[in-house]
Amino acid sequence: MAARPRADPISEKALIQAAQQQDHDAFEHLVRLYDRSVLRVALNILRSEEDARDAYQEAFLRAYKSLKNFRFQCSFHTWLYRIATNVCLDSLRRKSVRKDQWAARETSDDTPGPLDLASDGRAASNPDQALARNEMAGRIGDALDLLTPKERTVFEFKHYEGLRLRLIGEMLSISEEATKNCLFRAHRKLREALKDLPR
Amino acid sequence: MSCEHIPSQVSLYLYGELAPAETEALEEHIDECVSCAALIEEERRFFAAMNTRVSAEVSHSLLAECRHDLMREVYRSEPETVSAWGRVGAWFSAGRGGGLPWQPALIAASLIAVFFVGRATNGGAANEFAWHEKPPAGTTIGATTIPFQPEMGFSGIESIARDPQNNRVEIIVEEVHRRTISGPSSDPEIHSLLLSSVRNAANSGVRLDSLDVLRGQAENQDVRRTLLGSMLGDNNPGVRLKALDALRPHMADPEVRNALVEVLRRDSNPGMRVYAIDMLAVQPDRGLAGVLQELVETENNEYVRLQSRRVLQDLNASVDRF
Repeated sequence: MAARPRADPISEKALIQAAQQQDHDAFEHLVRLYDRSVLRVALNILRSEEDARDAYQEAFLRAYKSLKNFRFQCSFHTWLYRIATNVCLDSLRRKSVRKDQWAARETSDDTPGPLDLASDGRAASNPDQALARNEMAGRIGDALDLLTPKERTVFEFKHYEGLRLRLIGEMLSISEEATKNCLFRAHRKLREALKDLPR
Repeated sequence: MSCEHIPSQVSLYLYGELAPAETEALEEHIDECVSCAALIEEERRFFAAMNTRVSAEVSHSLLAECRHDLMREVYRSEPETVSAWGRVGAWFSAGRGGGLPWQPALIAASLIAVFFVGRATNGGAANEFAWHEKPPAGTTIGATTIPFQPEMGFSGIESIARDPQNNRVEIIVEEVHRRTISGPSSDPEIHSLLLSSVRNAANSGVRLDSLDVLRGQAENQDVRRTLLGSMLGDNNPGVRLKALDALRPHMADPEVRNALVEVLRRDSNPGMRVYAIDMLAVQPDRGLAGVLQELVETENNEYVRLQSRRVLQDLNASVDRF
């Protein structure tokens, strides 16, 4: 499970206040505190390096432009993740529209995405195991694609990032109960799609 | 808790999201119910299977590229320090496009203001002051009709004289006639203009755009020297950063490495210093450890010191100088 970025709250507050006064160095410090996890989440959710790069850029530029409106009513981390999540959700929605358009024109494309291939990086040295593991990762990726953008995001944040449901709800501006329901639906769909997966 | 409640609780239980009382009730139930205990075990296996898809790793190079692109945009959005000439030029542009009336008196007042400012600034940055749209023909300044041409602009005012007898004013205007030059970037005239605009253009956006075109041509010695000069001397950090990035493929060139060491020692922007460390660390040479040790002692910025220490550790070098 991924480690959460940590920042000393006092120095973080000073950095935010300096960045609010257009101090670019302070803003860059803030970026460097959180950007690795933002980029990882974007990569996991969007499954495309190019889309993740765009989401990273858009999320931090939105944060930069809205920083003056940040009033310390929630943690900076939550605020930033909320922006990044919204950017990723928008991107996923655009992608699903595009995908629907392609699906109407083309037959299914079984070519694995870059992350499906990249996920082989840690596979065992045995080529058969590596292949099986890669195949399984590809099937999981396909199953994740069946989820709605919101279900996908909730599942990614819960299962792969280990965030609390309350925090995920805050980031998505939905109640904790709605987040639980979303996670439940995601699990049900994934189990159905992967019911023949060897365990 | 009864069997019918378990399926909706299983994943929340495994994620540790149930309240303590709910957890206790569920555990009491599965201690006594074999089928629900099996359900939990099945869900555990599902969790393990889902973990087969490892979380994407963020590579150092991808992160560095994202940071670079982001900070370039941030610096690009920084309000430019606009020269007096530029401000007046912008005012004229806004006036024509945004509905400010072109009253003759207003124009006259503006031209006089331009003239005085121009003198005060010794005509600097005049290239920012050019009309981009057609001014109304026949505009009158005082009693004098200026024959504006459609493509007319001017780079400065050379002299002004007033005849006290009849209160007429004579202004000698240096005109600029714009023209468009297009062709491949290898075209000698275009190439020369691009180099010139990196060195001389007052507008940093133009310098950035020129660098964009030139970035793949640093094999050429003139381009590389221009990039080095820009990286070391441009007053806009976004431009310096872009020049630095364009030099990335040429780290084997000692001149580039020496310039990066200069960036480490002298550049006022910590972001530039961090990028310089990142670039030098890709192909470390024997002198790098000494430079970084010096930086650890003298650097004010905590993050730059941290990065210097990190690279020294990667090099198995001592953090301190002896």
